[in-house]
Amino acid sequence: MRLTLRRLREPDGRALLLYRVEVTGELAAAAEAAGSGAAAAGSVPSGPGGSSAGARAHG
Amino acid sequence: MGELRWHPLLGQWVVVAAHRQERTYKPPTEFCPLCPTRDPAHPTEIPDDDWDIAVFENRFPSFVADPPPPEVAGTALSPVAPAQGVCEVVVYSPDHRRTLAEQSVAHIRKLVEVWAHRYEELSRRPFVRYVMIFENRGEAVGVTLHHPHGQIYAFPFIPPIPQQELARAREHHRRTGRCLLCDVLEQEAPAAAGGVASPVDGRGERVVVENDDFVVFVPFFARFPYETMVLPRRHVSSILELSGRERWSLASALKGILTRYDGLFGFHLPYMMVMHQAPTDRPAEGYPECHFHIEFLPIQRAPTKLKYLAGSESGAGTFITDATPEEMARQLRRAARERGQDPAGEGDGGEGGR
Repeated sequence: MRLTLRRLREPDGRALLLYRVEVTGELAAAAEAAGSGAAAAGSVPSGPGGSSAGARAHG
Repeated sequence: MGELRWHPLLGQWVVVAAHRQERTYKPPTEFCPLCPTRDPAHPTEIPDDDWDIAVFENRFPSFVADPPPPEVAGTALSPVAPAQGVCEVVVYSPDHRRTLAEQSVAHIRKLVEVWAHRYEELSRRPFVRYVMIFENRGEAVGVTLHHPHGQIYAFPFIPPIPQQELARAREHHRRTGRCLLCDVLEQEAPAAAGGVASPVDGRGERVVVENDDFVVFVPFFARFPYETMVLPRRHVSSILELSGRERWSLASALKGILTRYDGLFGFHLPYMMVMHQAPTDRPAEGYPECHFHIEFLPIQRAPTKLKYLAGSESGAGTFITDATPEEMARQLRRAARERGQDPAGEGDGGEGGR
């Protein structure tokens, strides 16, 4: 996970922070797969590195 | 800019912010101030779309870092103080329509990272004692800008509800030597073989979603309709202490409960989402009693009925609920399936199908 931050100012001086967060390598692939599955099925897999097959969504 | 006025009966601050009456109110999509600027002749708050998540200081804040002196004099009973703090808006993505529930787990994971960064950075301000990350969603909750976004208030004091929670947790810790929310977790989702709660024998019957690191449940003592608590299994006091894996699991758990909220009645459920974690004033003894958690406080009690905080709730501080937490949890567990979204995609026979 790599976080890149651009610090800007609004015309009236207020802070504006623009974040890019890079989900690196295989974690990204795993997360996207998990995310698309969750979007379709409502499932909630654990994150990469988790030891199980994912969330246990009671139903 | 307003000020803080002390409420002598309740012993808490009231924030007077009359300028907020003028804040942008439900603009049409083409004039959304949270969308990236598309026509330089009509700039929005955000000049481009080269970002995942944007954060900016609220144009109509309740607190500012460098406030003017109070416009009124206080009294012996009700002192006043400058409204010093920070109010930030967290824009979840450049997409005007995609709600948090509709974001991928990976994008919510990014948001978790930004939340952690904001908590860390704001906590370094010497006048900040409590950082509250939250989202108000839906017009019924009072949202005035439809572009999906959350907020962060960096308070110059510990607000009453976190303060009360911490006091109760401290008392429990002193009396038992244990963390109050760890004990609540054991009550709601006792660890069985493999760390899996078993609703079969009645335990875990209010659990809606769980994974290796988080449990989402309707508390036994829920006050709001379909209220849930998102609780890490490991005792951590702030989002900063979550490991990389736990942050993924948090994103996943959030996706799970948000999906069910939107499936419950077939529309975006209005809710308040509030993150509770350790105050940032760093006393020497720390906050060992504090257990990081997120509360979802919906206000929709039926497809066409809202829960109002009326006489008993607002006047007496006593909540009256219209359904049992057990029934609310059952409905939330069913919500995804009834929308054709089998939780975990495993059917009733699978691990995820309980």
